[in-house]
Amino acid sequence: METAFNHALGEMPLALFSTLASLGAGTFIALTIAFLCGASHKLVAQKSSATQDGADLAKDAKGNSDAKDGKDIKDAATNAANALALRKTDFFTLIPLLLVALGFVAAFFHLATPGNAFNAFNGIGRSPMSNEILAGIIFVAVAVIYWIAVLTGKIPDIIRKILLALACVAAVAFIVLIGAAYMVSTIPTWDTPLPIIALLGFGLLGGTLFCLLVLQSADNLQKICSAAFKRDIIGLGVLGAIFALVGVIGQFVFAGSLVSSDASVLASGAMSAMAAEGIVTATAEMMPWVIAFAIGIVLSLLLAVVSVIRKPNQLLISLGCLVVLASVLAGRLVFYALYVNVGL
Amino acid sequence: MSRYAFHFDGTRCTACKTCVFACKDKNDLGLGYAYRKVYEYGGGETIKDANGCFSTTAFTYNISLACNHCEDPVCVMVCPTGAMHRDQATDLVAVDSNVCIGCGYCVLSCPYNSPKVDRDKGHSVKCDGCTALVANGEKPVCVMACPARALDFGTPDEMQKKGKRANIAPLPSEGYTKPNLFIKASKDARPAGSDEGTVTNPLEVL
Amino acid sequence: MNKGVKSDPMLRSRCEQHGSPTHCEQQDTLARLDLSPHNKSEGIAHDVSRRSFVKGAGALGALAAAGGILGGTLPHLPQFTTKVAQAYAESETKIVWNHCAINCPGRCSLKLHVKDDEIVQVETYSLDDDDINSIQPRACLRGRSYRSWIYHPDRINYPLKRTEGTKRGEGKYTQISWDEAIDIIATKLKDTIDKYGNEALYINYATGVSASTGRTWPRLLNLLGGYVGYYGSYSTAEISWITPYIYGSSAAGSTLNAANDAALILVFGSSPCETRQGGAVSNHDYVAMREQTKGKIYMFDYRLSDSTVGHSEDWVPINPGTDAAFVSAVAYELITKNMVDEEFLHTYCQGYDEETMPESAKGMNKSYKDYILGTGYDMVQKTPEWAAPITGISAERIRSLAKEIGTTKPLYVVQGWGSQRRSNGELTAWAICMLPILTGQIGLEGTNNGLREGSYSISMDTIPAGTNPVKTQISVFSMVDAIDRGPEMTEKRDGVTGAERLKTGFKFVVNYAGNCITNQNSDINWVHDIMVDDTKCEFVVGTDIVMCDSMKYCDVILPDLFRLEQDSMIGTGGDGAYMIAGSQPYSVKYERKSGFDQCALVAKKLGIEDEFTEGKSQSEWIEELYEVSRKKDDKLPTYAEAKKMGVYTRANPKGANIALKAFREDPIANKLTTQSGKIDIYSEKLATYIETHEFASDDKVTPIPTYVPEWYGVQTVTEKYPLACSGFHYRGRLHSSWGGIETMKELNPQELWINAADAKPRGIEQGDTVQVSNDFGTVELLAKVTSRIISGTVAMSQGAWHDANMDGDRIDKGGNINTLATHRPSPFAKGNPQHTNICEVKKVG
Repeated sequence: METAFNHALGEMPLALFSTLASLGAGTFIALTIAFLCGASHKLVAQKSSATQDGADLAKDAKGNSDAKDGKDIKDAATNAANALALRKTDFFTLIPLLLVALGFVAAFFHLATPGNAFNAFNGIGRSPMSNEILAGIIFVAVAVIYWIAVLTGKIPDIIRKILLALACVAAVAFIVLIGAAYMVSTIPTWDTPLPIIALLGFGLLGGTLFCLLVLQSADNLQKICSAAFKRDIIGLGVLGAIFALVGVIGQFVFAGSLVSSDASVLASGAMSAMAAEGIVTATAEMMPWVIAFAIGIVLSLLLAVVSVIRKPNQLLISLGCLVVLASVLAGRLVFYALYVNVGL
Repeated sequence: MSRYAFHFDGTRCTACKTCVFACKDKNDLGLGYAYRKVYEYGGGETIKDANGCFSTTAFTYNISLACNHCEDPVCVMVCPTGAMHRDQATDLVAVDSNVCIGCGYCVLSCPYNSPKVDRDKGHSVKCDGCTALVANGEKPVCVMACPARALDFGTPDEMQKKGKRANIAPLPSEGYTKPNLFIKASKDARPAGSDEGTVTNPLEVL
Repeated sequence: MNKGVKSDPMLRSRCEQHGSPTHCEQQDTLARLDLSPHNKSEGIAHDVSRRSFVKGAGALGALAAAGGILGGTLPHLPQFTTKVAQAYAESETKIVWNHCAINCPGRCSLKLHVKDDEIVQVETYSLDDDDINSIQPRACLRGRSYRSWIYHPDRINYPLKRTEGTKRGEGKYTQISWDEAIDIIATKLKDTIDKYGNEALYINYATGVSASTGRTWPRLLNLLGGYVGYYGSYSTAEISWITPYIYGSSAAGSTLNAANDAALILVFGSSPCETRQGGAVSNHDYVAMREQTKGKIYMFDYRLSDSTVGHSEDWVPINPGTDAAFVSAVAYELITKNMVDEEFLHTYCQGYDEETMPESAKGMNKSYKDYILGTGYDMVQKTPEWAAPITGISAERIRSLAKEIGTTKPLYVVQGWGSQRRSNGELTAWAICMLPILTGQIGLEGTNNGLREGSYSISMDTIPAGTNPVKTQISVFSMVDAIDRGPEMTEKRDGVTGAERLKTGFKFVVNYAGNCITNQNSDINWVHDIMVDDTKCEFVVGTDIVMCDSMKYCDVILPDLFRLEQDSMIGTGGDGAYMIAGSQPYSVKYERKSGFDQCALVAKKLGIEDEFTEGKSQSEWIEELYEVSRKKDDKLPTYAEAKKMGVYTRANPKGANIALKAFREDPIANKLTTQSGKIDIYSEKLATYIETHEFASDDKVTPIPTYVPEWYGVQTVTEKYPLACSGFHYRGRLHSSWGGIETMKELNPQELWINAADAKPRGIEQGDTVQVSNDFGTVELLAKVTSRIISGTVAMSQGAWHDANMDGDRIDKGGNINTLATHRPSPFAKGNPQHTNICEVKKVG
């Protein structure tokens, strides 16, 4: 029997795309928090002073009688370490880029003729999917430009912040347009802003965890874990979790509400009987998955919070990333399983 | 307004599926594909009482439909490549197979189960209203095939004289895409959105 | 599109790519013929945008329809691939007219598009007009699917011989040359005649080809001394046997359009829209009548057939096989409430009441009225209360229907052939005719005589068979009996005519274009066991298009051409008449030959070629026969004109045919050919027949139309087999033709119709696989749980391809109802009671 779940599995390429793309894009939102709010200025300033002090030290070492005291030496060492951490952070920014790239590869598998892919721009303005693809390309372009620029190590901090902010805006736009593509009038279970909310949630929560992964992999997390950073990044994660839960559970509840026992609701919405039956069977089938999803989201948030509050642990953060990945994928499968057309 | 529309006479149709197979023959469709479908919708009960006597509220009727070449085709609206388009000469909705990427957006959005993605061909496929025949002044193959003469094709004005814009179960309300399908409903017909019956031939619809 | 609800394209009984598990076994044995069907892929590919459909001219893509990729050894068959392919040079497409020739009086027009010596599309004759009464013999879905069949990998292309060491039924064959095949056939024929005499020869009932030169074996065998013939048909055995006793020979019904003038229309055991689906026969004619009549229609049926979809209010649910009980109760009401037309009954009929009884039966309470009122025969009053539990129609409803029937005029009563294809079929068919008889609604405008609707046709002369020196005949249903125990079969008991008993069992059987050895024949398991024994029937020669089930019982198989692959001529009609002059569309392929040419080769081998062919080719015969027809019907076009136009139509100058009109106008001058010259309600001739023949003790035979329960029916279900099981005709096949075509099966699955009240206690849901069993066998198919069938009865369409391991569990996975059907013949006609079955149903897996 063709179940709603089988139907969802058939959409795996799209489920993977929307999971990976939202998480990857969301990581840039979280990185923006890390660099703009939190204690990233400290990092950057230390980097500058590290360069400067290093030169001074070298000069002093050549026999300057006004040598600084041990604190300066300690500062210089710290600054050098911070510089390295920043470079590594920029390197590991590859991770979210890879996520997005993998997402696009998955999307390609969905197409019957990927070779014609450039034609997808023909519908910009009219077709929500064209708009989504455009936003995706723009985001990737900005994110890649940012990444290459910061990898050179030569751009001033203000430029970094501007590029990153642009990437963040592009990421938000991309995620929103992925969700918007599902708001088709003839797909009643999807035709709400809930997919957008859910995807933003995935991006914010997943992005939080992957941002932590980037930072931890770069030995940078403890360094920038100021109270402000903790507050902001946890705030982002919590916001993401709330959006995710509202988006998915809300979608689920909304779908069920379309099929009330009052036949006039059906008539006014004027869906076909097949549509109504489809909703009933899908919601029944996917209930366990919604529960699993919710548990996974809460667990991911907990792992993120623990990683930020206590001593950062690579294993714990990696686990958190896996859990959020799996949970978001589950949430996406629920979404696709809830597909019901208004008619036949 | 679209230049052409289909008419389906539900009082004549006997569910024979000649329209389906005539189309399959013309378009060389094998297993897994049929551009036209005949839906059987029915409900009610036939019960036997304590004396062994039957009473019945059973009702069944059919709809034959392919692509409705809608006034507001959602498939055209959502198509990212513009492959799904209105033919210039006839207003019929067709797929430009050279442009289509096979993303399936049209498949998800169409409320009439019309397009499908043929992965072997690499693009969307569906009824094109026999565009070339129509451009040549002829009627689509399905129309001329029906032994009970339950199908017709012509301008919306002409077809509107024969029936109402498709608004009966199991179809959805006409308001979504304004299908250019005008139906003379049989007495058994239920309104769009009715839950009195269900599609009773799911195995026979691709 | 929605996929949610209970749709599962994988839930079909098919082997990996084809119709049946044993199908592929057959293909293995045919493998040496280089047919490789296992590379079939889904969907035919071509680039839609590159194809132009400018009328008449050439276009790209001479791609054949569904079929496998055929080996490179068959160069003139186009390859069928899924890749957007090959650019063919722009070449002309020509239109060639021909006709369908399968067992359906439609014989509809086929407008063949032929390009590069292949058929690339099949259209039909149709006019773009709004006149629903214009005559348009539009082909049905099967006609439109011809390419799937013509190019099917199962097509028989070479003469075959049953492989040495294998048994009949195994389906293993070896290719042989035409010379060898003809040699074998001719030798066997001669030897059989020498050893056993001509009465050991039999041509099996078969209906796969209808055309003016379609039946050539009778001609051949008559030139060789004759053969045992048959009477009746699997379609009409019971009703055609009894009709002469009621109305005389050559009695036919009114055309359907006569009902346009009726105020009340009663339809029994008929689904005109499913039994003849063409555009100028019953499918169209019934729809047109329903639209144009002012009359109210009642469809008496155990199911809401496709003829009634959209018009559910017409359906009167009735238990199968009980039509005569219903009629009897209506008769009771009509008689007791003075709604019968006594003047008509006394003027035009014999046997209604004592007043018109013949001398031999006077004063014995043997009239029909005595039966109905309970003063004779079984002494039971046929009240609505009596009939209600039998028919499933409440007494109240019977009364109200009787009132309508008694007071509404004109009354048009018609039956199909479902009511008569039962163990009580002869009397049931007769009983239905009582409704128009009792009300005097016969021979008038808007009436019918209760028989199947008639037609207005164009008559075509067929190739003369000559005179059969052998006068012996059996019922069409008795071949396998005759093979099994021929000399035991007598005129008194077993329906042998022209002789007191059969001289011998059949030793040589011809099976040309038919699937009636097994598939369409009752009790397939028993038939198999008899046919497998080649000491009984020693030789079976078969000719067919595809390896259908019956072909597996042949010793030599010859590859036939479709009628549409030859010159061909046919005349037929429904409410309007038409004639189709068909032309050969392309060259003969492989080593196929027409039936005419096959017989000519045998004739040549036996030294009677000239007598058989008279020096003419089949095409010359067709033209000559046409000229003979044209002499009798001078409105027909010349042969050349006919070939050019392809389809010739003619409206009925009378508008409608009214059955028995002349008789009604003047019953003396136009008396009937019954013994009494009138309509026989009591048949003296039948009474004599009953006295002089032997019947089984449980066959209640009467010389009047009485109700008799079926041997296996709603009144005779058992605890072990509590459900009645009936069959019906199905759009997915024409009987068993097209039964192996995958695209047809995909959209027309083989299903068991079962009411929710019967399904629920058995745990059966829509789409489940179920097994249906009785003492004769077991079939397996999908369940259709529906309110379109009454409870207590299940039904499956007939003609599905039998598919069972005959050396193993014999479970028929094709879902063929004949695996469940008894081979006991009906009492009078010795005909096929294929709807008389009981069974149990269980869910599988």
